[in-house]
Amino acid sequence: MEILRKVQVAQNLGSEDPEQAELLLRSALREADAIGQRSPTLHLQLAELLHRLRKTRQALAEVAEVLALDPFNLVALNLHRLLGGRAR
Amino acid sequence: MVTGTKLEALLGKIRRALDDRGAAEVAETLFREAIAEAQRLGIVSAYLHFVLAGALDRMGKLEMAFDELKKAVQADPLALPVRNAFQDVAARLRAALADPARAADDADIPRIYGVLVEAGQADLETHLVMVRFALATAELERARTLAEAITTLFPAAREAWEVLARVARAQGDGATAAKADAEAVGVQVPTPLFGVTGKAIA
Repeated sequence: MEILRKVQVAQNLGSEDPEQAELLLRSALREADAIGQRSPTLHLQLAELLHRLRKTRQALAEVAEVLALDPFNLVALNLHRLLGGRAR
Repeated sequence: MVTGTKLEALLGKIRRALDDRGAAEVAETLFREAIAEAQRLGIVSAYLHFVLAGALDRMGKLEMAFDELKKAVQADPLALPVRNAFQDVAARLRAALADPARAADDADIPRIYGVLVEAGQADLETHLVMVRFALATAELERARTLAEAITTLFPAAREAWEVLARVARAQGDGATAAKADAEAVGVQVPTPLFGVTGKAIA
């Protein structure tokens, strides 16, 4: 599956080339959206990457997407706190 | 969005359960409680099924872990960590089924086999174990049907033809056994797809 390949490559590139990884993840998310697939994990992956890139506001937006889809995701809740998001 | 004191308390407990890697039984109870709460809210949480699978795996409950991972993959098919864990547990389930120490007529075999087939995770060895089980329990019709299906699925696998020969022999069908034996011999020496066979001379 094309989307999964992008996600895999993004994961591999995460630390070496985070900007490219971000592009791939955003592209994967767009493609997933186009086929009606909402993936909290994919949003979380992007949120973690954006956090590493110090794009806090964008990271928070992605965490919000995760928590809207899966409010039980503790990794997202922890990241939300770390990013200084308001208590959910 | 998570709201409500009860839910926050539950998440707090789960957080502690995840921190305390030793208490898998406690974690299992909490994760199940959280899954029930999520269901009540109309949410299927891939994350909760994933962490529950981890706790079950630590307790050696491999089949239950596999079942939870199936649910997690279904809930979030694009989650790579979940997919990887699913493949890992499937591989260990296959290895456990094909463990040479397991008796051919072990009563657990049909159940584990069914779990793997249903999830599309059965490989050649998995099917062979089931044929051997059917043979060992004298379910020859079932063994024959499966063995024939395996030779269709894996025509280049010597073991598939060998097991068909065994089953046919057990049924008293010498002609099919002989044919299957011949096929088995035929696939023992693989023919190169490309190139010329013979001695290399410069």
